[in-house]
Amino acid sequence: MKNRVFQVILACSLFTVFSSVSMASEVVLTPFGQSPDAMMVKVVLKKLGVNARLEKLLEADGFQEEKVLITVVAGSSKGLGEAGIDKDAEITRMKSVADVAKAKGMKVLVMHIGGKGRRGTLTDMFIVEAVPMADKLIVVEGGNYDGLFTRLVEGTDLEILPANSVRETTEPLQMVLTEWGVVEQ
Amino acid sequence: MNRSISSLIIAVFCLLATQAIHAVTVAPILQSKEGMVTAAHPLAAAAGAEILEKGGKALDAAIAVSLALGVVEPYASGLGGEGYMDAVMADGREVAIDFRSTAPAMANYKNLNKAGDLGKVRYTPKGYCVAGVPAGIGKALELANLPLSVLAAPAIRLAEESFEVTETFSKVNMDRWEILSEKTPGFLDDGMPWAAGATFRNPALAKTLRIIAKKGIDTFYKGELANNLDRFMRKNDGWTRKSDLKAYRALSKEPINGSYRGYDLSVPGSPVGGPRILATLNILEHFNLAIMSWDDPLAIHR
Repeated sequence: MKNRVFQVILACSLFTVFSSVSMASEVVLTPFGQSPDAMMVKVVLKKLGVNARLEKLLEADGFQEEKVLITVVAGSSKGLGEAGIDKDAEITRMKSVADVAKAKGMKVLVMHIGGKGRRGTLTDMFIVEAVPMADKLIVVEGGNYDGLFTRLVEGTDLEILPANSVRETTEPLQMVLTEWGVVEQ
Repeated sequence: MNRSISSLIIAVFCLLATQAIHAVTVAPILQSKEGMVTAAHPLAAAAGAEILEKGGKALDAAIAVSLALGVVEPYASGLGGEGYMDAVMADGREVAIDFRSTAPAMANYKNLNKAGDLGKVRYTPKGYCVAGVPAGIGKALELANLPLSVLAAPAIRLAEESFEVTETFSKVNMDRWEILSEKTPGFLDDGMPWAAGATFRNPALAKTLRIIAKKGIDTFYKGELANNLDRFMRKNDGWTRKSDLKAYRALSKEPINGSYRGYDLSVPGSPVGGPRILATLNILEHFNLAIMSWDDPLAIHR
């Protein structure tokens, strides 16, 4: 009898835990610049209970009924080389992916998580293209050290959601994904 | 005094481990008549200065800097690394110590052929070579004033009490995150890269340094630490054995001498880049760099 009661309590607890998080892959994740940063965001999302699909070279016809597109901006020459594309092809890819996402009514979250260390000519080129795609924007401290993101959101409704570190992006991510119905409160 | 300052700078510079140094910072030019320590990290330079204040000489400071660098920039320096020291002592003696690492006996042609993609193998225990830094420090200690327990104290303190993560530390962590999360997740900040400004501690390294400071350098090659490494290698399919560690020797060598515009130079011999430095400087002697500004294309390309 005791065992039975315990099982019921355990089942109820597990149901409670899982009902507060996303069960299906409602988020698709792709890097903008082919750095490994998108993989880090996947780990953070996992901690939030969000099962995101990571596609390094997501194309416009590659969506699977997801609600949210997250793109993590950071240029990596090594990553681009490994992916076999150049910076112009990467920008073209992301523009068409974002266009289709918008047309499908998806939300687009742009993230820059590498701080000052992940800025530079290549990354800045991608940032300039990425910010106008965003419905929400998360920037880890140091990434906006020179006010680039501030200038890019000037005159728009877009707000920069800050985080102190990659680990601490859980807070703004949870807020955004809750607002977009991916994570239940 | 000038000579001892230059030996200090050379010693500190040469004792650094050999991987690429990422830190590039802009700072005012400083001068001192009493001695100066330069290092790739300000906390490591401070460790060297602390040793000078305790009565240490240039070599003592160089040892303290080397150990401290292994704590504050573990991506570029450390006990597991290798190096070459070239120093001019106050009495004019020139000293060169070669403590580059050696491959373990099992890293032979047959095993390397069987190991697969060597680009990936290098990130596994098979990729480990016998470290030269402890033996290099051991040789340098023969010329030092202060005991290892005193010289290791600043490094142990940094590892135990923590220090602030730099932009460079954070960037290297980001760049190497995939491999770190796969191979050594415990090194990360809860699975994520360390952010600049975060507080980093390394109690395991502090413990290792304490053992070396207490039992001496030999414990790394023949004692407790050698046993630990041997056990780890056997358990994780690595190639290094205690016999490899026991056979390792840092080598005393003759430095190579040259000159540049009237200055006498003492540099490490081959295969370290000393001869190349001398050749470059001897070519540069034919050009009047003093009349060119720092950004003059002629100065840059020559």
